[in-house]
Amino acid sequence: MRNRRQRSVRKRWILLSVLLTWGLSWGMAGEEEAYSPTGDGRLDYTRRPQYAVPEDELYKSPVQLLLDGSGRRLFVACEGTDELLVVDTGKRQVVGRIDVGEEPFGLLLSHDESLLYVSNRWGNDVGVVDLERMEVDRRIPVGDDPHGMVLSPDGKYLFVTNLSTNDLSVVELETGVEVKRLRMGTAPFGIAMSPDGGSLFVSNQYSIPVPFRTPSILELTVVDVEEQFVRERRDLFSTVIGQGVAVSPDGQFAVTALELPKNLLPQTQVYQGWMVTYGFAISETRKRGRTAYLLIDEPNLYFADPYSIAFTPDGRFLFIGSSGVDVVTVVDMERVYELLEVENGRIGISDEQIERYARHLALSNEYVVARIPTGSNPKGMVISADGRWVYVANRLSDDVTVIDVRKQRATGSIGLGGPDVETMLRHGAKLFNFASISFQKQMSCNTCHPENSVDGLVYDIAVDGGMGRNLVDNLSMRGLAETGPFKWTGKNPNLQRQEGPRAAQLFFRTHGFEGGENEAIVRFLESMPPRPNRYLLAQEGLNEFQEYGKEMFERAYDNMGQYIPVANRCITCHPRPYGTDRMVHDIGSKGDHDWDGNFDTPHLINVFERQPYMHDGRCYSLEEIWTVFNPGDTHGRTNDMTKDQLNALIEYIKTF
Amino acid sequence: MSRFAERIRMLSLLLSLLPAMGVAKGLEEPLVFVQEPLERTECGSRIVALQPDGDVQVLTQGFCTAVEPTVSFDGRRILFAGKLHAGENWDVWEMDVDGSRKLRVTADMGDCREPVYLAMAAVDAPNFRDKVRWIAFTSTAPDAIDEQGRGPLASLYAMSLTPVPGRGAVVWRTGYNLGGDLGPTTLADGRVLFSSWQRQGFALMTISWAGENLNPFFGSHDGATSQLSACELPGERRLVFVEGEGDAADRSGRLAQVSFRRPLNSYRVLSRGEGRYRTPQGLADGRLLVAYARGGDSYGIYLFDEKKGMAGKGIFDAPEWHDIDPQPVTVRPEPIGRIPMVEFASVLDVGGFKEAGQLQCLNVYESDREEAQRVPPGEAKRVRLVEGLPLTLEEGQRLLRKQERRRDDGAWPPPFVATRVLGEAPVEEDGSFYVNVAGNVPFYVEILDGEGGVVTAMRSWMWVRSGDQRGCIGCHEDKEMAPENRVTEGLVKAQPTMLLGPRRQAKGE
Repeated sequence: MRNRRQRSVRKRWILLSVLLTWGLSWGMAGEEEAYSPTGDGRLDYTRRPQYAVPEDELYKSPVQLLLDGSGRRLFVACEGTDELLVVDTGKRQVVGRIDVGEEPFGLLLSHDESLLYVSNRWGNDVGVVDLERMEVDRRIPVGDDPHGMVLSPDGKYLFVTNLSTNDLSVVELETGVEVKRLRMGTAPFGIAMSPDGGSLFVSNQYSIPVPFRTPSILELTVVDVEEQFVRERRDLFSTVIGQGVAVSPDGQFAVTALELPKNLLPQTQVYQGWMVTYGFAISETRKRGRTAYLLIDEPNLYFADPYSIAFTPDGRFLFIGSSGVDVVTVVDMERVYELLEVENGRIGISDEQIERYARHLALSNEYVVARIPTGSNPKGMVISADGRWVYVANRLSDDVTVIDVRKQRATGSIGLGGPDVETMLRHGAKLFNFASISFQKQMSCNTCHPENSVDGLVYDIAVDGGMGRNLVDNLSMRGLAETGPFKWTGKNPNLQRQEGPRAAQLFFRTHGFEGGENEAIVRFLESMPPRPNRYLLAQEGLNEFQEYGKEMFERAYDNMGQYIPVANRCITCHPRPYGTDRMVHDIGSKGDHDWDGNFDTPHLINVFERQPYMHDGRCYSLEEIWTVFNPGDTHGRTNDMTKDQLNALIEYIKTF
Repeated sequence: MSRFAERIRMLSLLLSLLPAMGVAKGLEEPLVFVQEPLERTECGSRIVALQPDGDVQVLTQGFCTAVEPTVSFDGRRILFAGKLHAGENWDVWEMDVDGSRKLRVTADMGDCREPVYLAMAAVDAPNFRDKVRWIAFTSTAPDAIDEQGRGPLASLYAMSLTPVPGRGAVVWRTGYNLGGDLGPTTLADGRVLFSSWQRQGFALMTISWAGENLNPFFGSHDGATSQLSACELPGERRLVFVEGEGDAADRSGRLAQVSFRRPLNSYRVLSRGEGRYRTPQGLADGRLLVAYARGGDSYGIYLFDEKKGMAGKGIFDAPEWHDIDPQPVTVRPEPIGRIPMVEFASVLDVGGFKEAGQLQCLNVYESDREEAQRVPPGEAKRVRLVEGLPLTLEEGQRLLRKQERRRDDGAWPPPFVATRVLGEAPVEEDGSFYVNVAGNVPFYVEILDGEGGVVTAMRSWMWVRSGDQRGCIGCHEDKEMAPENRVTEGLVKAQPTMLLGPRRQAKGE
């Protein structure tokens, strides 16, 4: 009897605490443009960043480009308006448009140029456009967040990189069926085929899992086209954010644009490439080939956020667009080969020289032959088949820069339409990608938060306890509007402080965003929704396994019938809708390098896409949080759980 | 003074203002520059304004002497160094570009010279909202003799030109080099570039406006030349300077430049033929103004002809004066501002460390110096930080008079500096070390072997500002190299060793 009464009282307390927490969360929600949940407590995945303009007047935000064989038609994927534009390169004007799908990205022509394939990032499919009728013929479902695409030489198979599911879809085009998924590295982004059609080279945006406090490693994944299997996984040591990838026309090298981060160093300064440097990896295409790294930076100036990359048809020049500084860098590959002592497709310099060149800020003087200004936030880039023109999509100025390859300078731009006014949110988006805010233009917000997400790195910010202490895992910018306070210690009450003086003093080493700029970037961040949650999209409500996980998440008694104190239940600190009670707690996670064990409770929105985990990034996976780093049940009562129960719990957590 | 004498003096003054050559066409903005007497005297230098139509006006009437003008970024005000009366110290002054509204900026800080405007910056943590204008200058406020006994030690300072809310006027010493520093200039990226005495001559160094991140820019630590009077040509990303022999006491020499794309390896001499150059200054259109003299002639102001490598079109030359230090009166871009990491803006919050900074070295074996490269891996066991204590000016001059000490450029420590050990800390197997060190104190670093022997040592002064955190890649590493991305054993294994030394209150701070 007493036991029942106690349980009843406990239940009331649980109910009250949950209601209070929900109430607090709802009470704090509110600004019109802030991301907010729907009434049923689930997040509104239909909402997308529209930059606060009427729907019929959206910014185009062009991201990728493709030229037809004649070089007369330029296709432009516009992520802001979900459309494909057709540009007449002779007239330099838009001559056609078609709605293609949600957030189009990659573009690819069929061999006979009758069809155009468009990967739709939010739609998780590939639209097939009949270019004669200018209609989307069909949609082929692929993995999450499809990006780059290539066709097999016989035109029968389409290969699509899926950034969010870390794999490569192999689609049989005749049937429109995905016949195979190949595991890539983490967040496969770009894809390029060798000239002989035998191999695919896939760049990956994030590091593969690496031991705690060791350098990140990007995988360059090599796929055998004919046999459709991963032939090699090549490590690009101490790199991150591999995006554009290209194979040299002679087929001897695969080149990836990337960052060479310095996240393991205490962030005591910016000077001398102390925070991050930018460059490209040049990998021999032969089996187990070697890789060298060269920077595009200079000792007193950095070329932040390299994105796209393209060879001239003769292989002489390599163009690299830096989206953070609105510049295309032109690299003379003959000088690169000379520097690397390349003979017969082999890099001749020693491993020690490779290591040294990867850090050499002034070598760029040897091989960078031009810096060409572009519009705002250059993304996709394409070179005409005759090697005469380079076109660059400028995402935040809604235009295309036209570069004359021979003159190595921009000779004009093509306007794509879109609003003439710049809204506060659009301004915020520009500031987010604006490396000029930092000392010597070394980094933008986008550098550590690519595409508003996260680079998956752990940083030694070096304050509050000194160097080497209080390491912090980086967090995504998506969906954070209602999840304050910020910073792992919870010390920053709002984004204004976080994005203003704090970012300026500790990262940018300038005066940072002030006044209206600070307001614009905060509003932009608040407007940013999470990506659609793939663990919920294909179903109504939770599935059986997720429901079981929900039970585990909310349970008051463990498998032995022991009462779990309120403070030690998952739901107490991670209530819906955001999965955070917005308070600091000590869950026994204090490491040797930490001064304090109290940390802000992270939200759980799309938690599956932001490994590593815990305040210092010590966990490779969600599973490790409880199987390795919760020996005393201080981070929730979990050690009694069966494997199935823990798996169910994790499946449920992924649905936030 | 009789009326006749007064008239003669006025006539002389008017005559002296007549330029020996016409105003060059194509120079659209007014200039201010300095007229310096041919014979060096305590008084007599003055700042004049030259209008595009050739009109010349003295801006510093009533001053015993006035030199080193610099124009504000909005083109409205001028900072300069001056003395109202003979026998006074030099002070920094500010006036409108027409010479009106003169205000004394510094007082009771020894000789304050070579003022330059810095970017606007706020220092009021945590919100950093109230930006004020700051300036940099050199001052002999430390009341010390420089390390070679050449004269009073001039150090870099930063000062708020208007009060910092809640704190009033703030003055920070930002340079602690014991060899003396000269000629600060503000770079477009916000750093202060200056000529710093490094053993046998002045080399170009950079520092943040608040004294963080001391780094070499160009020039040899051991060479017998001096790089002086540097100016940035921002549009072209190059730095032009005067290069003289030895310490170039009159700050004249040939013109040279380096590119910001590769300062340490892009050195080029610009001037050919005879003649001496002083005080180069860039114009907005990329042309270069210089003060130039040939043989025993007085200095005049010229546009430098870069193709011919010589002084080109004359702008102004009064034979009775050295016409030097031309500054265009025009709007210039504001440099990049920066929130400092030091003093009361520091984020370093470790109990008892308010007057200390942190220093980490990634790898003592990484160096571009032959001596350090010869140290085999594993040999370095400890690091010793040695503080430099300058002699007071009075003590130094007494030793000079008695000839008990004399200049010795090859000696380390230098002859007019006393030293004491701040402390020692372990060097880890990977070559790293990590210490907390007394802030705002000049020191050099010695690397020791297992028996306490010095295997390699610095031959210049460095410092960490109070509240700052400083990282070094190596011991005088190649400055074109970015650091390796790795966690050092020094950071992982140990708390920093405390190398605080005895506390002191430096005069003039």
